Amino acid sequence: MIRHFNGLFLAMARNRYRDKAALFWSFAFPFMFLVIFGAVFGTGDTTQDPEQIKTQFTRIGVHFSQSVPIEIENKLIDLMQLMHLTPFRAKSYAELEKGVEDSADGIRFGLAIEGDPASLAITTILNAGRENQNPLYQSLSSTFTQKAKTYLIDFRDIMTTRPEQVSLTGETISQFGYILAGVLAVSISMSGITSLIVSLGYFRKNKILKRIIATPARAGAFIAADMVNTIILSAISSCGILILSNLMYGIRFQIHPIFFPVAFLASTLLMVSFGGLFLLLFREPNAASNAVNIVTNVMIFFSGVYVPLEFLPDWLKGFANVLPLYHIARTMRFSLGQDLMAIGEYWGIIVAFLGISLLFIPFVGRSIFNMERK
Amino acid sequence: MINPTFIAMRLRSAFRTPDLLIWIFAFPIILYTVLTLIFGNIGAVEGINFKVALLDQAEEGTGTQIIHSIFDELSYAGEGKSALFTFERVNNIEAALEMLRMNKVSLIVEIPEDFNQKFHQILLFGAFLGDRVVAPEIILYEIDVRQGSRTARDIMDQILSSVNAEAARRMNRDLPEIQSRAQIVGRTETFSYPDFFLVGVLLMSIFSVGFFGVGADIAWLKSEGVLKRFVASPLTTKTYMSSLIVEQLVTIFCSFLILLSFSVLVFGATFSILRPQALIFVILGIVTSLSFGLALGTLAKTPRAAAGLGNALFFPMQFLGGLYFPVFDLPPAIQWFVYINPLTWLSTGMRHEMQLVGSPYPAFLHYLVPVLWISVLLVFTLRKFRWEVD
Repeated sequence: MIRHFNGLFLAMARNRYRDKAALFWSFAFPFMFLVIFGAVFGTGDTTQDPEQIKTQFTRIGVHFSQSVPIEIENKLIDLMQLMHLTPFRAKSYAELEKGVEDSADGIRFGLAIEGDPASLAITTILNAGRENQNPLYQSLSSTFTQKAKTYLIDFRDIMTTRPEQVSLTGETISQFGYILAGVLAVSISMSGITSLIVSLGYFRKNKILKRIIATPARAGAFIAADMVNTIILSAISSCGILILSNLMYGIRFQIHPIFFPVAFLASTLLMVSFGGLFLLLFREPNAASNAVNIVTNVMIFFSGVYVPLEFLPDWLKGFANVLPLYHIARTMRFSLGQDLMAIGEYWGIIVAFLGISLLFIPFVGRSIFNMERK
Repeated sequence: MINPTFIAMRLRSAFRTPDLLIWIFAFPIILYTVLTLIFGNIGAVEGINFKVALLDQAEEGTGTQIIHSIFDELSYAGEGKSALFTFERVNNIEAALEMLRMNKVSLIVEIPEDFNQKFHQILLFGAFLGDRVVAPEIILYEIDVRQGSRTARDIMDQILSSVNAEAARRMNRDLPEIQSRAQIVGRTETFSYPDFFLVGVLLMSIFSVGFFGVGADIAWLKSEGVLKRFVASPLTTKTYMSSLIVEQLVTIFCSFLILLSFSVLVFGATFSILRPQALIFVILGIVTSLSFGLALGTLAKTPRAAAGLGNALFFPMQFLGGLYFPVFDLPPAIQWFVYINPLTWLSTGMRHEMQLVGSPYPAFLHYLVPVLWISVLLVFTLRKFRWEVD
């Protein structure tokens, strides 16, 4: 059995090394994902470092029309600073619009203030390109408007609010690190879900499986060799992502020595069994591969990696909850120190992943080999 | 020059291929649905519900009554709507923090023990004792790294701030009238997500045909020796190429029609994409896509190589071409790719002509970059194309 396993393992490793498409999906694709999404979504200024939070200001553009008296201007500027907003003045409304559109000086949004002391008008200028953050900026501007009403008449507030930042793990966490942990989950999933389709599916189609059946090697050795290959390839790819995240973006993950390897293994095996089920369902590897690609694409959007699920209606959140990638992303964030979850919940997910894998991987393997024997 | 029998044969063959049906017809619909559902809901308060842990440590009193009446209002769901906040009472801060960390709630609102006492003091003596009386505080605990938590805190802060304005009004203080409105720069008033994603998904679909239809098809025919046999038949090169292009045009047209009908009927997209100026970009997109396909088929020796190369090019092109989200403000190491990417100009030009998103670039660039690509790729194909693998 061990000899058969070794032989099959080496043959499969060579086959994967020669398969440019498999190499692309395992290495180039996660790397592109990292670079592209890092550049697009990694510009957030959020941190969990308590020292940085104290000094963290949001840059905004401000324009006061000439009708606004200087004392009101000064008071509003004071209020902005109290609210941790750093104002950059624009000479005209048009300059403010242009500044917001170009993100000049790193400004996130703009406030154009017009009118007289008795009646002011505040226009919040948002950038269409910051669609993800705009609800937050809009809300910040509304709070400013609300507070300005009492601040301008020196009304003594009868109550105040005090925001308190809660640290997740006690360590520094950036929003980008939070996203990258999800990118890793996507990479592991892509690598796992295509595994059995590439091996069992295409080997069967190209009559290679038939030849293996004719040898003394058992189906178990074949599946085990394939699994180990997938896990090694995915592990190399994941290590690459972690190293590149650190080198390119300075992200330091707090990798848990037990939770991370266990989550990695369970997630890979779950996705392998998922891909296997598609292969059983569609039989033809191309069709299975297409179906898997579509499902993966849908899962990526609902995984909570790029779009926070809190902003979705309940029915869409419910849909996201039944998709495995959502749970893989959560366990990855947790095991990389980017988020918290109950230990019981973590092990519950892991046991479910392993249970499904142990049930389905042998089932898929046996079914495909039996089909081939018939 | 065009051979209808050959085209009909190729179309029959294409429409019997499940891969094509999935990627050209089904996938755009699925992607369009997902994108519109997700991004269409961002920023919309309707349907969003934040779970909040409420830790009330104060005794019964006027201050807490006011706060609770506000919370009752916030947690009221109108007919067929969901409430903006759902409050869950907790007894101690440890339990609340645990819920927040475990993402069971987005926010903790703590009303401290001395809230009512301070509230009464400020109401009665605030005017006389000035800063010696401290205003009562409501503590809002959030986790900054979670966008949902940040937003929930901000909305709550804004709502609670309005209590002060209301109190000032009741005390007959003249509050300044402040009107607020929002303006979004970088897009027009007629912006809608269904239209925005229609452009993105349509271009994705058009380029899929080029990369994976034409490119992979030529590579396959070449590697299997079929192209060589075509040369030996009475079919001329021109006939083959023109038939190939007509076949792809029919496929793209069908895909366009299905996607447009779906987006209009299901998501209420408009027909603004049918404006002649916008259609020019659809045509330009098709020509660019076919040029990429021909060049890819020329370059790749096997269909797997064509697929690999196609994926390696198409993936960054679609995500850094602004098809699904605007790409600007990127590091220079990435930004150059955005500028040379024909999809950037096609999507910007099309959306500009549909009056969805204003383009910050001179209009001639919308045409120039794709035309340059078409020229370069066609020259490359004409010079390097071989009927068989060397």
